Amino acid sequence: MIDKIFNPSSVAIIGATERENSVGRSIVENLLVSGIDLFFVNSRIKVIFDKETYSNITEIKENIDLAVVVVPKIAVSKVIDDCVEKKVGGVVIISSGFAEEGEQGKALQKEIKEKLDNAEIPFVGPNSLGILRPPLDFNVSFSPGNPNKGGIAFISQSGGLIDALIDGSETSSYGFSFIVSVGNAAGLDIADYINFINQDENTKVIALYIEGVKDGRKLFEAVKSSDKPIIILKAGRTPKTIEAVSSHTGSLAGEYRIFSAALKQAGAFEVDSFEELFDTAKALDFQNTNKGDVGIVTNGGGAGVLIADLIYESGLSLAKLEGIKNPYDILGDASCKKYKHACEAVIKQKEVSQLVVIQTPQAVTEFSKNVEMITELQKYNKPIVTVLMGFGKETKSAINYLEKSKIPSYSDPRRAIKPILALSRDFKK
Amino acid sequence: MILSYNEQEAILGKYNLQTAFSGLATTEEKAVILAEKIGYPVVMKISSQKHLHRTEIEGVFLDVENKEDVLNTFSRLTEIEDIDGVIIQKKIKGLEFIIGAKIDASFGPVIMFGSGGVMVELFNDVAFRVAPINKNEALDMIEEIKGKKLLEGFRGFPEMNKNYLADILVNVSSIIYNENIKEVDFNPVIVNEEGGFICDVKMLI
Repeated sequence: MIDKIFNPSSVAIIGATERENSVGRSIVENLLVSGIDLFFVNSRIKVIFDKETYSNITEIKENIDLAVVVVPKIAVSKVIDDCVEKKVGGVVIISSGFAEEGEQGKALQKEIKEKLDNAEIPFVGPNSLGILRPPLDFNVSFSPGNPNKGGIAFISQSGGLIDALIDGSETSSYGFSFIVSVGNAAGLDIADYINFINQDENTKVIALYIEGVKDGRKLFEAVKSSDKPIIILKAGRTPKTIEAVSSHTGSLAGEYRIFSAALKQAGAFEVDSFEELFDTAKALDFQNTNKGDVGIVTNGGGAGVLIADLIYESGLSLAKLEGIKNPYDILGDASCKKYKHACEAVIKQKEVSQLVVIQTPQAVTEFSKNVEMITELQKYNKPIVTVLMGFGKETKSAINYLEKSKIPSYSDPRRAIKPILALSRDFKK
Repeated sequence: MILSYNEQEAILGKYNLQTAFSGLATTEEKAVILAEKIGYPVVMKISSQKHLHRTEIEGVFLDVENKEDVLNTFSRLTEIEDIDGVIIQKKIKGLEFIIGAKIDASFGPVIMFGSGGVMVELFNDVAFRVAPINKNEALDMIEEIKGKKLLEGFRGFPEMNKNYLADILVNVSSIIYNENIKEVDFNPVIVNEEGGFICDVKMLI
């Protein structure tokens, strides 16, 4: 049933408008490229983008799979009545000013929830930025643009973080299969989205930004039964910030510990920052996981020791290599030939389940030859992570080459750690 | 509300859990008979459905050495109001841990395991899981706390069998999941070479 929301054949936009700098116009513009049958509902404007409007959704003769609600909050309740009468398949409520705005808003949210629940119509929001499925060119949101297509599904309790992600997405190497702004999650919640996205063939990894959940048990079960790796960034970890997220009282400090323990038990991988969330998601999208120990090849001793420290601290192990030290330091004058010989010697060993290649930009470093060689190592079917230190032109174009070939690259050993850790895990339960 | 001694014992029995050898005495004669049967030293403490924190009202005596001691302790304990009797229990030596379970507002039945005594107060050395758990998950929980080092033979402590604790954890997780109980508190659970002994039980409904 929720398929009507995520894969509709017909969409009605209630509150559609051509007015510049409006949420209603952004949604119309984003949806126009989808090729889906669109119906604009506006009681005051007769024509929008050369299309005649309807003054009420109930006037539309065709079936409506999805109704998108972008009207001011005082009009939402009436619009929901109309959606129920029209028997729409699902609703996305973009309008804000509900539970996030105090008691009156809470009451209003409860009212619309009851109406839709009674009619058994699933809904997203309210206070949602919307939903995007880039591989299907489906964008029912007021996002400032369209993100790259890729294998990451991002489910977020913050619309702002979604915008931050889409802003400049064209310059990043990774892309998205799904972006869901859950809003106040009065209807569908994060667990429902996980269950749906788990069936999506375009999605390889699910990234979550969570502030708080009402039904932790349902989330636990959804994460546990997911076949895809799930990465979680949780905000509201300290008693003070929990207050900011909700007005809960009681044993607050304990709550994050239970959340964190439960999600870990369900098989999720927890990270500590927005940067880590997508550094890790990118790695899991680009490469396949392989449980076990890590082998390192480096042309810089310092970088090798730095990453070895971090690997041990994170609880991972460096593989014991036959006849070679790990990290394998091939020294600063290493040619591509030497790199190739070393990388193959390491990746071929049975004890190595993942290869980490570090490059520091030295006088004789063969940047473009090296990355071509690393790309060819993918034939060994083991995950590869690279750390290319330095910020020069040649380093940057080497990173671009690697990431276009789906080999994740990081500028600092520290940033590579969570991705290495995630790739060395067995996400299958 | 706290369950009575006998109600708690019945639930523990159903889940193959045993408290350290103990009995409930309502008369001083019975107290002496139990103490002699168990063997000195014994622990004596009030059994009460009213008092949550027995130590604070001096309701627990840890080293009762002989018959005279039993009689004196019995009369002191029975001065406390709202008690069902006095529990006489074998004094167990070993490493102390705590096991708890409760119904979390968001995650439902959850179970907690931690180092006992000062470790839990000072370092909050605890691990949580959503109940029910299996034996592997229980062993994982034990691995997670810092106090596990004591179980592995730190500084001459004999190596203790983690399986004893894991079995208790699995069964407690079944209690909180299946029974109509709000909270379970085993504090302490003492582990030694012979096994894991639940020395104090509180169940709230």
